[in-house]
Amino acid sequence: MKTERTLIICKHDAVARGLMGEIIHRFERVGLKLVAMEFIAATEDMGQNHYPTSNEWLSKVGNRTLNEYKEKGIDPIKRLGTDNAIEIGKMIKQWNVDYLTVGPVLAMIWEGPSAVGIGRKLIGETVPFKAAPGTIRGDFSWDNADLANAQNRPFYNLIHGSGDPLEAELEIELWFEGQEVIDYEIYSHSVMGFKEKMNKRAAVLED
Amino acid sequence: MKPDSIEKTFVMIKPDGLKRGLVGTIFKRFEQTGLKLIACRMIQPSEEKALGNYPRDNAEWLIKMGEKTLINYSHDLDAVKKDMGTTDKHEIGKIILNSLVKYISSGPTILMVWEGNHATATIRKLAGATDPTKAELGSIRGDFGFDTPMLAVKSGRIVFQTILHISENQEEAKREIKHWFGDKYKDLGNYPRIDYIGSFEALN
Repeated sequence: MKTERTLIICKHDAVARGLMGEIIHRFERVGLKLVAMEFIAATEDMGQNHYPTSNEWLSKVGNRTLNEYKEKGIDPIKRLGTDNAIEIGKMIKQWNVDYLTVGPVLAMIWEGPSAVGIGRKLIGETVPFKAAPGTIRGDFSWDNADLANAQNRPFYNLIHGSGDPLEAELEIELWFEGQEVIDYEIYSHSVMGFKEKMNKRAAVLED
Repeated sequence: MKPDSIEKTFVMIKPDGLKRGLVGTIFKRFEQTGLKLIACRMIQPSEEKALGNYPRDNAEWLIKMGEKTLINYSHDLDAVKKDMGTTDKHEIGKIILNSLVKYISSGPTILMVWEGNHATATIRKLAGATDPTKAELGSIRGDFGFDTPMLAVKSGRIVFQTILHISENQEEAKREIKHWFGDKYKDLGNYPRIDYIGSFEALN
């Protein structure tokens, strides 16, 4: 069975609101396995390293906001003091770092087949307002672009999940550097070998 | 200054709790009652670390453990001899300690420190009696427990699975936090918990 690992963080709004159990429960219920966990106050450095630093990424993030402002008729120079995509990207990155370091967060590694994709499915869309009901963000948050824009802050969206397996690897290295990931079997996985087990049992009964 | 009723207590989710997928449920029940997470780490304890948590050289403690077993057998010494190989309380205590260590180190555990108003009593109530036939419905063990001392002995495990360990009092909590977290312990409780708004948020 090819497994993946994904980094999931209950951000500080989830911690303060008492939603950690709800979030963990949903990951357990779907059949993923918790292999590392730590309650941690991330440092500024960790926050900075959690997000990419390349100009390419910064301008992508900046341009996303510029497009949004254009659609809504907001003047970026008036609101943010610049219309340079990279500068705006840096600003947004800092808001995200502040959000990640404002208080302690619960960092976890979850493991299972397609763990990254399953994690993202459970979490739902980045913008809580757009996240479907049944997802964590859809069920527990309502933040939207107008509010976040007006307050110059990122979306308060409760939880972070790795975007793809490579990102997961880098994030796990950053958050659990040198720490042991625990190898064990959860009982719910035993049904995945159900057929073989029944066959074995039938053979024993025949004897 | 925080009043004495605001306590910190130590809780461990044992390997059966993780393997059965009960971590979220346990967290949720603690959070619902307004408790605040102060520290949390996941580890698989070595046998040595697990053993270090118990007073292994204290004969009195070992004998007490043996006595509990005799009570579970209603002092049927023949049955005790058959299952445990001895009727000596001290020897039985050693066997039980050995099995306890094996149980705790058999898989991952989650070490946690929770803070709240009367945290120890609140969490012990939420966990329920260790014997699941006595634990009330609505408690964690009442809702999810099924293992009993006798079942454990009959299935060769000796020590029964209780999902959780919780410190009995403040003194034990202090000792256990020190033993399990060691120098990795950091009180991260300096954050607002929304359930305290309107009650004791100023003491946060």
